[in-house]
Amino acid sequence: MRSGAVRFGGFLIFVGVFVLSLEYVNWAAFEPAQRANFVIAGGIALLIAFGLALGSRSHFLDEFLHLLALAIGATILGLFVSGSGAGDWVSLAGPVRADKTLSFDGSFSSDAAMPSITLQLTNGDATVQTWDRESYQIIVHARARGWSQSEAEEALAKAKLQPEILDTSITFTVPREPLSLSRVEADVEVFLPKDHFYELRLETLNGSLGLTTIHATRVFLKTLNGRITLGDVTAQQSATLETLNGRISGRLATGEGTASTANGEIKLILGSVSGTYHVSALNGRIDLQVPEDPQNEIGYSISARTWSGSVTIGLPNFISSEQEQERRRVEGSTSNFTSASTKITIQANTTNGSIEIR
Amino acid sequence: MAEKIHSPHKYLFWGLVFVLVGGLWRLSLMGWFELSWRLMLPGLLIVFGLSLIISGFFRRRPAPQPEAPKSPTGGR
Repeated sequence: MRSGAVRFGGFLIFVGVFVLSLEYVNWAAFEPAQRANFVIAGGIALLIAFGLALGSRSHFLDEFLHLLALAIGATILGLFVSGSGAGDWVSLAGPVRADKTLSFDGSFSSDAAMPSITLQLTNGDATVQTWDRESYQIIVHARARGWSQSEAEEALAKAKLQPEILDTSITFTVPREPLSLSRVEADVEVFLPKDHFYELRLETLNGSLGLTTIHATRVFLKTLNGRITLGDVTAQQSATLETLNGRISGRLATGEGTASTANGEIKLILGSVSGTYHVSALNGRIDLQVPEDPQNEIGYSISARTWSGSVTIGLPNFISSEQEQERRRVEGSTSNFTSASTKITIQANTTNGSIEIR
Repeated sequence: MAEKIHSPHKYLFWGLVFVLVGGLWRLSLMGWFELSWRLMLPGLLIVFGLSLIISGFFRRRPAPQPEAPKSPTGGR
């Protein structure tokens, strides 16, 4: 018997049972004490399997015990992993797709000074834009996949696609159905009246995030895989833009700005308000364009560093206090920084890519 | 009989791990101690270590083979 092939077969069975245990068993439905009992029972079953395997003189009994042990181990691993949230990373969504579009309209109460918009998606794009109307509109393009049309449609019907709308806030969350093999995805478009200041929080795991021209107090955009695109965004207090894989681009004016990506370019046009910008990339160039300043009223303090590439500062009257010969690290400020009415501080870091501030 | 493909001692090891982890989990739910993330790593290390020691006791060492008598000719 080829032991390598047998072991590989066992490994495949282990992975298969583990995924099924994650997808089909609703571990959250059991009490913690019951789950602990399952673990103990699995352990006792393995101890019995040990006793039987020790005395076994048959290959078939050995294989049966081994399969039993694998199934027990994979199921218990599924129990632990499902509680950690890592189950969301395993999906067996089928190839058949069903979709529908929903629209929700309304208006904020007149005393809503800073309406908050929170979108938390797992898979899907989110865009927020402003328009001239007094009302808002939320459009949800939802999709679900399954192994048959009816399964996909059923998953879509079960999914909660209703945003939580209050007088001063809109919250939309797409939870993943733990018992279903169908994965629900949703792209969300939000249209807001443009004469308000908003508090925006947009998060997704896989999808892009976008804002058009909008005034906000705070902006928080976070995605794992996807780009972040800004039209013309003003965030009075702070703006946080985070992605792991994707570029960040657009116009931004804020008091405290953070933009970070691991893989992708960062290309921002900064507004003419005082603020501090922390810009970092791992693999990607950083290109920051500062506002035009014919009156010489804006002062800049800059610290830029790259490990592979060069730093170019194209600002008039910029004085380097520290600069390496290879131009991989530049620190300094413009001559008018202390007296300027508008002060912009920039800290830019990238590991692999050039930095240009102009 | 040919050598076994799967070592039964692995079942013993993982059986002990599951019984100990499940038992500790059960005890913490009964209020014997508070399970926290701070205890997780050292707790798991102790459980794995104990299981290794116990399953090690059950492994039979192969009996030492008597040395083969040297050839009087000392042939190659």
